[in-house]
Amino acid sequence: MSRVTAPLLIGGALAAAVVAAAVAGTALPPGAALAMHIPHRLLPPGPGHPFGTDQFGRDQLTRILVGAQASLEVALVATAVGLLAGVPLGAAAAMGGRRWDEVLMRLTDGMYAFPALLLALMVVTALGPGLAHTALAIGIVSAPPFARLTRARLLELRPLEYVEAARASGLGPWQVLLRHLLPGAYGALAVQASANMGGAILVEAALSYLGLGVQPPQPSWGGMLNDAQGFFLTSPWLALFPGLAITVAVLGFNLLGDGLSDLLEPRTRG
Amino acid sequence: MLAVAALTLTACGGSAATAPGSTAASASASATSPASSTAASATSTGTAAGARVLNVAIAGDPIGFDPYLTAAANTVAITWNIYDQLVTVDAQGNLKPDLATSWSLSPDGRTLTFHLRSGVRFQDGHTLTSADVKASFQRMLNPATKDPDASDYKVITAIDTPNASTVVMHLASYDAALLSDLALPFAAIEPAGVNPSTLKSKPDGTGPYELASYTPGQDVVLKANPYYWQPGLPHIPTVDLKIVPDPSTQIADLLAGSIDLLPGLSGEQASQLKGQSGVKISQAPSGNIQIMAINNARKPFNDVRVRQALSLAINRQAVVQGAWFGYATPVGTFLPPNSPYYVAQPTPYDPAQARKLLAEAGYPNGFASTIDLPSLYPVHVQTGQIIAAELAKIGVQLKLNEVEWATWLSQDYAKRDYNLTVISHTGRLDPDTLLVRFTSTYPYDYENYSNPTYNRLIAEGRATADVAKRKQIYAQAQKILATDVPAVFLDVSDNVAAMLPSVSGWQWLPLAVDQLAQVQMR
Amino acid sequence: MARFAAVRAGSAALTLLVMTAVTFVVLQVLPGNPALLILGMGADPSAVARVNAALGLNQPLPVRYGLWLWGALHGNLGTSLQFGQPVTALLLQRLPLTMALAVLAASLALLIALPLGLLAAVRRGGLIDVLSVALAQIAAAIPAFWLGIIVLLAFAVRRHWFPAGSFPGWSHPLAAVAALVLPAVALGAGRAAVLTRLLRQSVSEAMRQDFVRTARSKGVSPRRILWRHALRAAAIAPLTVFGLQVGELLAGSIVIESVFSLPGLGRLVLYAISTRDLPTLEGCVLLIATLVMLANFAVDLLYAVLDPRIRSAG
Repeated sequence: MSRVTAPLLIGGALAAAVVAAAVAGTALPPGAALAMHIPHRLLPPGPGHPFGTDQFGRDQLTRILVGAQASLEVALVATAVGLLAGVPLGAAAAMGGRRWDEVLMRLTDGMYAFPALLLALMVVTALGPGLAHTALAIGIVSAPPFARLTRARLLELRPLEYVEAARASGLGPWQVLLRHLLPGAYGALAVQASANMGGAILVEAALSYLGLGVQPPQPSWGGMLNDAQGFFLTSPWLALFPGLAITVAVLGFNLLGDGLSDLLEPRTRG
Repeated sequence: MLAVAALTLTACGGSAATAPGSTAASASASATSPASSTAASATSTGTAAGARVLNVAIAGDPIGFDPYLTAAANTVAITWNIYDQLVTVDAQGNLKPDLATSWSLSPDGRTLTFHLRSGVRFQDGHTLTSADVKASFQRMLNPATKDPDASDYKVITAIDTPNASTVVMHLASYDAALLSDLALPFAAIEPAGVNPSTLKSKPDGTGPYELASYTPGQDVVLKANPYYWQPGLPHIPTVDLKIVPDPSTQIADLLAGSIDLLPGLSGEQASQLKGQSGVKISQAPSGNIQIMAINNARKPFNDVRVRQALSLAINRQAVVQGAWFGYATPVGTFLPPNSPYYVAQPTPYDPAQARKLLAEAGYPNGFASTIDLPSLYPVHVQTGQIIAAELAKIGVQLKLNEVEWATWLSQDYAKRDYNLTVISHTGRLDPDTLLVRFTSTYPYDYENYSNPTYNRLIAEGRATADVAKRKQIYAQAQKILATDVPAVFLDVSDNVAAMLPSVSGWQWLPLAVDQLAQVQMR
Repeated sequence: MARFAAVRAGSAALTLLVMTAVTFVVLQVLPGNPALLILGMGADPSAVARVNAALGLNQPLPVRYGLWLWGALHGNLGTSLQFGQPVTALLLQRLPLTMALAVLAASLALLIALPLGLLAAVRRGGLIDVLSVALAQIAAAIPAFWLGIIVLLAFAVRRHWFPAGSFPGWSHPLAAVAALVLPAVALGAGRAAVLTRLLRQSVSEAMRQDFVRTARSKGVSPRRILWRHALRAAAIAPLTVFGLQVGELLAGSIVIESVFSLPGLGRLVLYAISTRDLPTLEGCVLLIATLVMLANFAVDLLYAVLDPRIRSAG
């Protein structure tokens, strides 16, 4: 029974809000998030600066709006990389016979078992920091779950009647895969993609907080928290808003994933 | 700012020390009232009952405890308390006796004779003799030791020990910087007859403290040397140097009382602690010069007009306020104002003139370039952001590259592969230690600056004994730096320490060391 | 069973081999000169060259990896470039803190998740269920390091209830545990959220299963059903997740130890990366990967032991 549930609505709304923030950020005059005004540094939230200002007198609200872009870009690219790498791997494992399956699944198992943050950290270390590299690193660690999911769905679907029928009608294995098997996995992949967006935003925030993710002066929520920590005595609010923004974004995509799961994959839910 | 910065602060400048003859009077703003009682010491952890322990926060792990094996500030800041040198300095940067009670230079400037203090004992109990001094310099100058600072002492060709209390150094030529170099922590006197490979983990000096324990990442514990030769020192029997990399944790620990003394605050930290009750601040000008280094070999920076334009377009006050929170002084030369050889150079802020110079150089609309910022040092990253904002006003668009310290050292510094970067250099006692960096023969002339006149002046300065004459030479050299702008000289920062009211006797030396023997606690 | 264990062990060893090789290569492509880092900026270039040679950095990469692997097989992980100490000693020094932090965080997570998850499953759709589901969703979305900053501000800076960081050492056990409380809260909250959701789901699934229904039809009281059957059935799923959580906890400690300036494995990883201390980083990666593998392996074995009974019952 597929249905629209509260998680879908709330998650959708929150995710939409994050997207709206990012869009609003692009509408601001270029450089608005970078404009320094040192006499107005570390102002508490108030008129003119609803979220206060940072150590360079930059408007925190502006930086949070523009920071949404970085988070979304990284999450989108990472998820795309995860899909593009994971789905073919999973399909190869499912369709390529026992030996392939063993090798590929052991490999993804191994990666899966390794802490995602540590792996992303290593990749970013090797590639160097920055938005694109962060996205790529998170994308690489996102691939195994997509591979596992794809393989599991394909193995489930393969013995089903309609697939057998397609095969009997003389379609080649590739055609069966692309026309009949993969579409059956779309729902599950969409759910995983949404959850992955949330996870990617969390990892990006952690990397940027450690100074290895998105680089200044480009605003990122994790980087803003890093800056904020130096001013916790006099300006604790600086640590508040970026953290809230991360939470809202992650919550939004996680809920959206759950909601999509209710909608598209109802039988997998308890 | 964050924990990656937990790194060893391998000092900018490779070493500790500060300005030549700097007048680092501990200009403590509030270090006066000895009245209020210690509220916090009760909460301090790691204190055995009854024992007096001074808890000090340090930012990173030392790289061993042998000052002959590293120039890392984290190491020598500690070993300064374990070892003595032949000579030492006072807060004003004047040389004074240490293990040598007196010394004399031969008229030709090529023989330096030291008379050693009697009754000095190493922490292992044996008595200091001239043999220890000779063995120390032999080990330091032996290439197999790999002492990074050995080249500062390479004029020493031979050492004689006519008797147990006399050391005679034979020099290849007169070296104006040698005596003050002998006061640096890198010239520590180590024991003879001890397997030197053990000194990295088990130092054995004549200084006020000996190493009790070291737990990497956690703390370095020093205890008073029972044989120390200065009566009444050190005051505090045990010092626990806790490794607290995160600046905000350092502050929180100080406010909670688990740390008594916090040397080496950034301006950012100092601005947070200013006005907090129950915290004393002690500040003094340092010898730390922040510069925007320019790769003089690369276009468009090979044009002096472009370099001058950059200097004119950066408002140093914006950097002093923005990055240092006011805890710095603008400069226009490569010596700190507290050096007797310092000659002030003008630092006008004139974007209009800068634009004009750029246009003359063929860049009427500016240009785009990159600036590398070592992420280990948040203040350089912040300065870089301010510089980028300033230079954008004259059409110079800078892309910021945050680089890890290891990358900066190898790529920017050793391989000279960069356009612009922000870094600090720390002088030692002699002006030559800073100014020599812009000679083209210096191994790390990473600015790729080459000026034969400048090279000649610096060589002359190092060979000149007469102070007045030396001052003239260095005045000329500084003038050249100000007009050629091989780098944009930005500011000299303050040394700032914060402590609980119960702590007294802290004094900044013109070296980047933590002098603990004189510190007292109520 | 034996074959299962052998296959698992084999693939774990393979993964470790791949991870350590990748780590080795990763650090090679990084620009960075360890000798200059050790000696300092003023260092004589000849001293730099000699230190680099002494560190063995002049040998070709495969040779160095082979030597390292050979040593590792004999329990020798080399010497840290920065600390000059054996890497094994460093790891042993750091491991207790990270393990204590992980155990504390995991216990905290269990303490929160067990009652919440069970109550939510038993009274599905009730107030507690709705609240715990919502709470778990929010807790799972909060970045652990941000939670760390917030609790640090609230309970270490505003109120001096707990230390803000800087580990006092194990010779002061009470102070040591006190220093780990806030980090454990920050690290454990997200884990508690995941566990709560999982427990809720697996317990309610178990309660719908045949053997529970049979028991109920035999007149066994609902409370006894819950404790005896549902809980046992429900133990399995969280167990598997717990295996995965070991990795999450260790990875989380990298960031949390930074927030609280704790000298654990996590901070050693970051330190080794930034100082290009290859032997130390290799050691950390090997240790963390081994711990994760061991946890997964143990969970797999437990699962294999527990599973048949449940499968036959269901």
